[in-house]
Amino acid sequence: MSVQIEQLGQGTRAILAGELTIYTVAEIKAALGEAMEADNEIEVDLSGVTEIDTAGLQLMLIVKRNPGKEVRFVNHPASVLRLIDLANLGGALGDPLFISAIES
Amino acid sequence: MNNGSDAVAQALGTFMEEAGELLAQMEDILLRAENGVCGKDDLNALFRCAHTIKGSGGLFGLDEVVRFTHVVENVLDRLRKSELHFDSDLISLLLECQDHISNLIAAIAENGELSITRSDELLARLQAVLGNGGSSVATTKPAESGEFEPEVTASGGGSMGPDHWHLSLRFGRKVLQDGMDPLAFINYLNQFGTLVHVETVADALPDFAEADPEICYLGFEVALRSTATKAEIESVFEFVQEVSKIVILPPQSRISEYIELIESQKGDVERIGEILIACGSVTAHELEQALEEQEHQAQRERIGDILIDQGAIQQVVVEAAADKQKRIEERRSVESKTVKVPAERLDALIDRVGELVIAGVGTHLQISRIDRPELMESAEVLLSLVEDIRDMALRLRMVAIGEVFSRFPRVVRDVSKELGKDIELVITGAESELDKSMVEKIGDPLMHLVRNSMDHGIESAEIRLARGKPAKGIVELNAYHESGSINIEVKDDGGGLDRERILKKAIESGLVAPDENLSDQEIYRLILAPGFSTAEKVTSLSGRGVGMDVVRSNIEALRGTLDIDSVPGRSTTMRLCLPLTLAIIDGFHVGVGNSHFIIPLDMVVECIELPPDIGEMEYLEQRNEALPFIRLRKIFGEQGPAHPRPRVIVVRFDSRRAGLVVDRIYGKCQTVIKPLGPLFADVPAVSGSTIIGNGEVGMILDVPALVRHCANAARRKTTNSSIKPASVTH
Repeated sequence: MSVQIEQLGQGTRAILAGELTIYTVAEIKAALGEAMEADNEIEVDLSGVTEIDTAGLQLMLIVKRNPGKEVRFVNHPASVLRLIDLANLGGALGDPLFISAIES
Repeated sequence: MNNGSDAVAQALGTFMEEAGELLAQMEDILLRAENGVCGKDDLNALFRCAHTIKGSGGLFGLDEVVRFTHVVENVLDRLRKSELHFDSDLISLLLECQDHISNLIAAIAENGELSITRSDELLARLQAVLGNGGSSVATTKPAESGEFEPEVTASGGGSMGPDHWHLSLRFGRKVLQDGMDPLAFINYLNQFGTLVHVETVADALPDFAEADPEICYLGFEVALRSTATKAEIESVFEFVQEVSKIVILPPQSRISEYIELIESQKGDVERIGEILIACGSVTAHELEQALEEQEHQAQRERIGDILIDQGAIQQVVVEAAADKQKRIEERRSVESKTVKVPAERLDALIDRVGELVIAGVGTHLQISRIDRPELMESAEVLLSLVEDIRDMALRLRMVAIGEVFSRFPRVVRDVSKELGKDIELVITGAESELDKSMVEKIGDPLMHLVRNSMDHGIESAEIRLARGKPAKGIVELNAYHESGSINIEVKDDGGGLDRERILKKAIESGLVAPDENLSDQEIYRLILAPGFSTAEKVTSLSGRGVGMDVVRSNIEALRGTLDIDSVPGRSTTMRLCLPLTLAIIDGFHVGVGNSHFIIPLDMVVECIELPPDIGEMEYLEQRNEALPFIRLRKIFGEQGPAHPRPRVIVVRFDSRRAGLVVDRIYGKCQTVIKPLGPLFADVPAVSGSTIIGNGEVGMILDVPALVRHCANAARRKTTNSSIKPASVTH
């Protein structure tokens, strides 16, 4: 599990890799919290996420509930999309989702 | 745990009972529909029957019932919406389905095998009707739309809520740390069916700063379309049940239950709205109005009620809910007026009452011997009270014969289809009452008679038309009370019995001698003889010559008689005459020599003196009519002291009159019938025994047998026939 923080021209990008599960949410929350301290606009790249569970999804919601900060999730892998779809949270999260033809 | 399973068993029993009623109602409506009498209300009722059976079946996890009934319900729904129309085939199919549901439920009750193959076969035919069967059946009945969706889109938009399970899930805060994954559970529900809708309830989620990502803040509202049982669905959440709040509402739950549930779950009012909208029962606009109204109302009426008040929830939902409530209320009111008593207690009571009657009569007799008018008076009062109690006790066992008749419309319909005849059943006198024990026993004999009438009685349509009769045959079932007995008639307007053919057959088979002189009635009665059949062809229903004699012996076992009337070319009437009760009768007490006999009082017409100059003749002239009589002394071989002036008791039975010569007349008495032991089973002309007031045993005479014998004897005077009636020894 890793959270790699990159500075972009405008805002910050956090690249998650590995599990986004109950085992890692505390760690990721802390890392993202730090990143949000530094910047108001954060893009979280999920492409490296290998596994996600309820705790992971809940963390995505929690991250969104940070007044004054703008967090965008991008590059959702299929496993994340599936779970968002199951929980019917696509709208609540509000991120543009790319659904591959195969998936749909 | 035991209590729990008892409660379930009890509830299941209620379900079975209710399902039985609903199925009977369905049958009734379908049969009426077949005759073209089926209004909009009937169609709605039909739909609701299936709907309720499916719904309650789901509650008990009767998967097969739910699976099957669901499709039936779809068909009925389309009928209701006039998208499909009744025709004879469809009604037949639905009746078969109704039977099948009934069989399924019966199989569940008996823990028997459920016939899945039968389900599948019927389902395929139903699908064909719906127009979404396989291509092989698609040709039979193309429906308007190519594919039929059971969740019919309502005017409000969205699918109807009651078709799916609703799961309301609030997980314990620690479930994530315990290694549970709520969404994995929900995903697993896909195993049982289709997730219609999932709403994530994130209202409890705190802001980023306060949130502990390892605590579960989320709840879910899930709509699941599934045929799984409640237990199966529950089992998914087995590991989190302790710490979570899991509410599972089965399909067809009332909207009010639904709202109640959501209100009880943690979450604010907006969530209810979302869920209701997601389930399609209300629109957002309607919800808003309801919420507004709720704010205005001090007493906090429930949203569900308000919505219903406003007519926002689709009429069907309200109707279904209201209908269910109404029926529950009706049931309750009936229950409160009815007390269920085990039959054996009732029998014990009647037995005691019988003893009371005997003791009362005995006391009365004793008192009448001592000259104490005031004692006599009180004894009379006592006796009349005892008589009242006797009548009331017997009435406890009385049920309307309609209970037996109710199964016949269906039988007539099915049999007429099978025979290819158009036959209508007319039932009258269904409210006539008779003893419960009889009701159970006359079903089969009646069934046989009705089938017999339909098969042999009613002619084919061509013959009927040729004879100038309407093509549609009529079978009548008629019940009425007559002099302490109940008569049940099975009448058909068919060709009548062929007197000559019966006689020829009877002579051929040696039942009667060729030179015998028989009345029409007696000839007709020959068809009751064992092995007798005049049918030219044997059908699956009748014609094998077994049956009518079985019918007769069944009826005779009930102390009843079977008579046959026939008007050639016009009609045949089979008349069953049964005593109202098997336990107590009003008797007429007579004496012959040293023996006591009881004649059922209803049959006694008058008492006259035997003319002294009668000699050895066996009939006397009364009002210019010959009255045949028999001497009981002779028949029973009584040797006791004879009376110098014997009396004749004139009895009448079924338009026949006869005299019974006795020595003494004691008068009316209440008679508790005690069965004769097996040793006396073959004694003719006696139907039972009783204990009379002075403690002696009296024999109850079988008047019909005696009367019949009398009639024969009178005729034999003129014909000198060789036949000997089996019942009486000369």
